[in-house]
Amino acid sequence: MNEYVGQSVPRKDANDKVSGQAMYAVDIDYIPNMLTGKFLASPIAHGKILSIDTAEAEKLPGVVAIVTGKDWPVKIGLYAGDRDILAVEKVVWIGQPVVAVAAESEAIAEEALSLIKIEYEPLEPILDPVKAMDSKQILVHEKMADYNHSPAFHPIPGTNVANHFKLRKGNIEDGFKQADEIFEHSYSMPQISHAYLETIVSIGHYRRDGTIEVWSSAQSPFTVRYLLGITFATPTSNITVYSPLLGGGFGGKAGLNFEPLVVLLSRKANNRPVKLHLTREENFRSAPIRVGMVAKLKTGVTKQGKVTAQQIEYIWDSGACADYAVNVGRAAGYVSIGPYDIEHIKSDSYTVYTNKPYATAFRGFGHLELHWVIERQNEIIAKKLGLDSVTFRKINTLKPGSGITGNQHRLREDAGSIDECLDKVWSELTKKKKKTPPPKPWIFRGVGIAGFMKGPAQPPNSASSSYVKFNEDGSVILSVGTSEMGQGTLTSLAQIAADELGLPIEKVKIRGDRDTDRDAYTWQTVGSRSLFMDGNAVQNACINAKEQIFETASQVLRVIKDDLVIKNELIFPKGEPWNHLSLSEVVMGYMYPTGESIGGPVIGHGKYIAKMTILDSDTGAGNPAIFETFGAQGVELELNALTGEITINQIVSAFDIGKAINPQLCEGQVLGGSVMALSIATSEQLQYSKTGELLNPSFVDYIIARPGDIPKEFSSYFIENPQEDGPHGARGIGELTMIGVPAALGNAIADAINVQIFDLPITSERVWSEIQKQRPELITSLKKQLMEEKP
Amino acid sequence: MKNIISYSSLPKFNLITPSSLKEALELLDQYKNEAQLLAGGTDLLIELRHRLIQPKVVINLKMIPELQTIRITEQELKIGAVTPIIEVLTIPIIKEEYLALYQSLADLADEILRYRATIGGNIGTSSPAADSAASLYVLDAQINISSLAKGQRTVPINQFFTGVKRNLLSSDEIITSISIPRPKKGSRSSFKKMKRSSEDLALVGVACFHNEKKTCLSYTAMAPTPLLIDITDNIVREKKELDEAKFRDIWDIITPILRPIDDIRASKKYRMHMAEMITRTILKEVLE
Repeated sequence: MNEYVGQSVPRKDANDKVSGQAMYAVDIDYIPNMLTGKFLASPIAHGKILSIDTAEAEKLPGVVAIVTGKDWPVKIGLYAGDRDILAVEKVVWIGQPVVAVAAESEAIAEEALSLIKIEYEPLEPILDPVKAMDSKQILVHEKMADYNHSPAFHPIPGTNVANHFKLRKGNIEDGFKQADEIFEHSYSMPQISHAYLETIVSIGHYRRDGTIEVWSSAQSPFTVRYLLGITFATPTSNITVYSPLLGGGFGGKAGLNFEPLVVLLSRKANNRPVKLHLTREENFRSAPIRVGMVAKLKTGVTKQGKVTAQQIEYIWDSGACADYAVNVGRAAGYVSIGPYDIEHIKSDSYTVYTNKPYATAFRGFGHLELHWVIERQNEIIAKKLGLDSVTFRKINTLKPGSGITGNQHRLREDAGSIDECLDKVWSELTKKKKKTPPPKPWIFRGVGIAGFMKGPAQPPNSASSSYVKFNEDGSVILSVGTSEMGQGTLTSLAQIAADELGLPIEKVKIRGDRDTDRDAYTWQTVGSRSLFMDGNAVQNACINAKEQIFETASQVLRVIKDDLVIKNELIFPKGEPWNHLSLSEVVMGYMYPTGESIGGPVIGHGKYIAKMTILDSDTGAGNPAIFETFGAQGVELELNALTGEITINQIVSAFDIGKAINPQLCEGQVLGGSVMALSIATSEQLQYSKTGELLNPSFVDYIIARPGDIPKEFSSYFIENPQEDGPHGARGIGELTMIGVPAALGNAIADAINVQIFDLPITSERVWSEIQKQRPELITSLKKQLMEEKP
Repeated sequence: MKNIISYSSLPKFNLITPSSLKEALELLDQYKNEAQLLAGGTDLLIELRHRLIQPKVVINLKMIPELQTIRITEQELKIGAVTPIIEVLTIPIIKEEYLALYQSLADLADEILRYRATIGGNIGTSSPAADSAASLYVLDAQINISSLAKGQRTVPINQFFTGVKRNLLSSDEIITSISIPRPKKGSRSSFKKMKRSSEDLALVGVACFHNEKKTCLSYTAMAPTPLLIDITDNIVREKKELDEAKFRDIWDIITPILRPIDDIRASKKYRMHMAEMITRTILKEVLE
C-alpha cells in the first residue's frame, strides 16, 4: 500500500520558498505598537559589573524601556541553568548582553545604547579549555553549586567543569597488556559558528493579562515555551510560541536564546511587543556557537588488528555557558569509541567553561568531533599494521548484539549494518578513483574513508505527538510539532500520512510554521529524531483516525470493522471494492437517506515516546538512544604539495537508514551535510585575541564554503535494513550526512602524501606547514621540479 | 572600556546624487572632508554601518554618465571610474591585451559584488589587497583625477597608494577614469591570488607583465601598499632560460622588498611562501 513512501515526492514548501512567499520571523512586522529591541554587549571577557548608568539614555525621546540583569535575575538554560538573561553581577564573555533597550526605532535604540555607561572591574579571563580544566583560581562560574541542572549531568563545583561523563568497560590496564602496539595522539577542533542564513529574530509580547506571546526563529518552540514558563513563573497555558519557517538552524536555534530578553523588555515597555533582530556580528558574538574540542586518545591493538583498549579524554570547550553543551559532552561520551566493539574502555568526557561565546547544539552534536578523533587514529593504525582501511575497521565494528555503552546494553538485531556502509563506500570510491597519474609531480592523489554512528541525544522521556483532522471533502490537516528549517521532514511525514489514510498527497496539508497552541507537541527538532519520533506519532494518529472512520463505516456497510480498508479515498471491506463508502461521506459523520446521522468529525491522535534509560553515572552503561544510524563516507582528493591546496574530486556516502521515505530529500540532506562538513573541515574557525575578543565576527574572515568549493561529484547510497519500530523501518539521517567527512578528508591526505593532520580546520596553510614539518625535503625537491618542467 | 554596539542602522547623512561630473566636483569642493564618495558602496556601506566614518553627505557618483564611459583608442584603454567590475570584464580587448586585469577582476570578491563594485572604487578604497591593483601596476595604468580648484591631473598608479587605505587624493578630488596604455604586440600578462575559499580576498596577489623590453611583477597584500618590482634586467638582458638558479637570483631581489604581516588570515611565513610559489608559476607561465 506504499504509493508515496519511498518516492521522491516534491517538497510541500518548495513553491513558497522559491517564490518568496514563505514567511520567516523577520517578516513579522504587523503586530501593532511594536518596538525595536537592542542590547549592549560586554566588551571584556571576564569582569565584575561595578555600575550601570542609564540616566542619559532614559532621557532620550523614543526610549520606552531599559532593562538590566537585576530586573529579572533568573538563571536560564535547558540542561543546566547557568546563563543570565542580562549579566547580573559579572560578565563572562565578550558579547554577553548586559543592558537592553526597547525604543520606537532601531536608530533610537542604538543611540540610547551609546549613552549608557558601564563600569567594570576586569578579572583575568580563562580562554584555553585545557587550562580551564585544571584552574581553581580563575572560575567562570563561582556559584556553580547553586545552579539547577538535570540529574543526567555531573558538574564539579569549585572548578570549571560543567559536566563529567564517564564510560567504563573491562579493565583498561588489561586491555593495554593484551596489545602488541600502542598508539597515542592528540586531536583538536576549534569552536565554530552555525553560520545559518537567517540571523536570530525574537519578538516578545508580555500582555496586560499576564499571558505571553513570542514569535521566534526557534527550532524547538515547545521547549522555549516550557522554559519561558519556568523563567517567568507562569503556567505553560499562559504562553504561546510561534515559530515560522527557519532560515537554517543546525542546532543553533535549538535551546532557549533571546526569547526571555524580549519578553522582559516588553514587560517593562508597558506591555508593548518588542522585536530583536540580531546583526551578523551580534549573532557571531552573542548567540550560541559550536563547542571546541581537545582530545587525547590512546589505543592498544594486536598485530592482527583487534583493538584491545581505548583510553580517551575529551575536553569540550563550551564557552561561558554550558546549558546545552553538557549534553554534547554526554552524547560524545557514550559514543566515545565510535561504531566499534572494544573490550576495555576508559573514557572521560569533560564539558568545560571558558570566557568565550557559549556553545549549544550543532548538527553532529559531538559526533563529528569524536569521529574525527577515532577515525583518524584508526587510519594511522591500519596503515601501521599493513591492513587496508576497511578490513581493519571490520575486525572491530559493532555487530547486532554487540555491547554498547559498556556491556549492559546490546545493539538490537535490526540495528543496521556499519559493515555494509563501509563496503559500499570503499567499492564505489576505488571504482571511480582516477587511474591516470597526476598531471604534475607536485600533485598528489588520495582516498580516505571514515565510518560512524549516531542516534538522537535526547532525554529518555522525549516524546512526540500528532493529530490528523479531517475536512468535509475527505482531505486532512496533519499537525506535528517538529519545525521546518530546511530539512524537509514535513514532506516525508505527509507521505507517511497519505499512505496510511489512502489519500492523494495533495489532500494532506501540513503547515511549516509552528504555533504551540495549535500544533501537536514534540520535544524538540533536533538529533535527527523527527522522522522516527514524529513519524511514528503521525502513523499512530492516522491509525487512530481510521479506527474512528471504520467504526462508522462498519455500521453503514454492516461488516466487521477489522475487515475494512481505505484505498483511493474509498472505504470498503478487503476484496470487495464495489461495496464502498467515500471518505467524504464518513469523516464528518454519515447521514442515512432518512436523515438519521452517526459518527461525527474525525480527529485522529497519535503519540510516541522514546524507549531509553538514564545512563549509569559511574560507567555510562544503559540504553542511550532509540536508534543508531550507521554510515560511512569517503573522499577522493588532489593535493598540491607546493601550496597545500586541496581539491575534492568526489564524496561518496552510504547510510543504513532502514528506509528512504523520500530519496530525493535524503540526497538533499547528503549534499547539504557534506558541503557543510567540508566547509567545517577545511576553513571554519572562530578566532580569538589573547583577551578573548572574537577576531572574525563576519563572513569576510569567517570562511565558509562558496559555490566554487562544492566537489564535482557526489554519490549517496541508502542501505535499507529496516528497524522494526521505525516508521516503515526508517532511521534518521539529517546529522549523519556530515559526520564522516572531516576524518575521511584527513585520511585521504595521509593516503596522498603520508602526512598526518591532527587538528581542524585543514586549511591550505595547515597542510603546507605539516608537509614542511613532516617531510621537509619534499617541498625543496618539488620546487626544483616545478622550475625544470618543460611546457 | 568602550561598549560594543553592533549597529544595524546607517548613521544619518544626506545622500546627494549629482548627474554630472561638474556638479559632483562642486559638491565635493563645498563639503570636502565632510563628504564621502559612493562609487559602488561595497566598502562604504560597511564602514558607515560600523560608524568607522560618519560623513555629513554621501555623494553618489553612480548617475554620472561621464564616469562610466569606456574608450579604446590606439594609444590606450580608458575606463570610467564608476564602471562596475562586471562591465569592465566585457570590454572586447580585455582578455587579449590585458589578461592580468581580466583575471584579477574576474576573481574579485563574488559575482553579486562584481555587479556593484567599481574599478575606481577598488582603487579609491586603496586596500593593500585591492584585487585590481597588482594588474594595473604591471600594466602601467594612469589614474585620472579631477577637482574644481586644480582641474585635471594624472598620476601613475604606483604613486597613487600611500599607505593602508590611504592615497594621494585630496579631499576635493575625484578619480574620473583609469587609462591603461595598449601593450606592444607580444606582451603577456597574468594575475594569480591565494585565497581561503573559492571567493575570497587575496592573502597574496601577484601580477606579472612581460614583453621583449620589460618584465615586472606586482604584489598585493604583501606590504601596506601594492608593490611594483621591475625585473627587466634579470629577464630581458640575460638571455637565459628560467631555471632554479635564475629564479633564486630574481627571488633574492624580491624577498627583501616584501613585508607581509601575520594575521588571522595567514601567517607571514605562509604569505612569503605563497608569494614565492605564485611567482615561480606566474613567471614560468608568462615567460614561456
